[in-house]
Amino acid sequence: MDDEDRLIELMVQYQAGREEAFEEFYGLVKPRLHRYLIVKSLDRQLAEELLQETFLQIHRSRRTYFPGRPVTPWIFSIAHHVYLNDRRSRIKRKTREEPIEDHIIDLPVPSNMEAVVETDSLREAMTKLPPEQRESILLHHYWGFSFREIGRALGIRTITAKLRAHRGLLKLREYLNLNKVTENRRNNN
Amino acid sequence: MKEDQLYKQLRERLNHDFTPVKPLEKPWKRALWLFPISLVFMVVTLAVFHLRSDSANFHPLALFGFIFLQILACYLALTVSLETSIPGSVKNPLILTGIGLLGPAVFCIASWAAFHVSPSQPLSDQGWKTGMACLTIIGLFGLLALLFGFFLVRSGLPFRAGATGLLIGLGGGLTAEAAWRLHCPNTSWDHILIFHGGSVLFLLSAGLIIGFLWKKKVRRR
Repeated sequence: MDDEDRLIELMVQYQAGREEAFEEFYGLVKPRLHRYLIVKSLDRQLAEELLQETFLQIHRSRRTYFPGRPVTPWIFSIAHHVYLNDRRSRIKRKTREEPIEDHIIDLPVPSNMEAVVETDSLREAMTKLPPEQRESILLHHYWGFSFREIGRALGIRTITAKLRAHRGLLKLREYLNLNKVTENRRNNN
Repeated sequence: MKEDQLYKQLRERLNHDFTPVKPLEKPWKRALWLFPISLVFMVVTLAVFHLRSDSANFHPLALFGFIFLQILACYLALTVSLETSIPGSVKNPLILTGIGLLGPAVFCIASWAAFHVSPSQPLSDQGWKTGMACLTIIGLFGLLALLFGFFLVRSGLPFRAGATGLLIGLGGGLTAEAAWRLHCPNTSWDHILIFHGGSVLFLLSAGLIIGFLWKKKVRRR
């Protein structure tokens, strides 16, 4: 049984009111959501606050999960919504500074790319991507969402999700090549 | 897990509230409620205000067919608006716009066909009086349908609250207008656009406002 099947089972039990199911569900889902929220916010502390809010929202909206459907797009969609709400209210209140890139510690990196490029340079390059491109790349290449699922979770067209990931990959390639050239120059000097 | 600080805080905030919940019905199933509601509107229209005086000019299939088509378009709008509030099923703006335009398109075609078959005179002083009656009754029926739409959507999340509100308002307004067309014999364009269209516009705005209030409420929870 893979993770998604187990999540579907747990979600059904969670809806039926079983606390133990929630505990296991939390354990399975927390690391993914946490990473996703770090990717979105580029701020570890904020990501933790949002994570709690996401779980509360999951709890309040657990009726909206249709048994049998994949759980991951459902929870990511809620996390996306929580992040957007928080961003809007922060813009209104202007209480929190925009996160700075020094805070970025452990952005996830697609494993198929890890084999080709050094993880640190890839991570650095990822942080320079526009947030929506970074999100599409990671949702597809790291979390394994189909572009259709990304579209449904974020409320965008499938083709838009594809384009964002494609453009992001082009930018990544461009940035990594530039990095290599600079490094070579440095070595030659 | 027991030592996870976030988990502890979460459990405290959830206050051990793990009451079983029943999953929502699929949006297309919940939206089916629109049909009995529109039937009630039609029965009330016929029982209280009677069938339109020029009904002999219309083939019954054409009269009821257009009304049914309009209600069907409203059903689609309601289904999509309900779906948009379900995590993981959020529709993109293009689909929302396309579905949203279906209702007004049927409304325009039905109005054009009615005018073509049974043209009536442009507005007079008396026309303004009957027009205000149309505006009020469509507005009241539509408001009921609108509130019902928001009752159905309340358990979802306001991913696109504005679009959801607009679609529910549009669905409610055009459903009420379709039912009221069973009585209103006035087919002149100024009457249709000012009073029938006006009440639909009023319901669209009401839907938009309620949508944003709903979003605010969910954000404050």
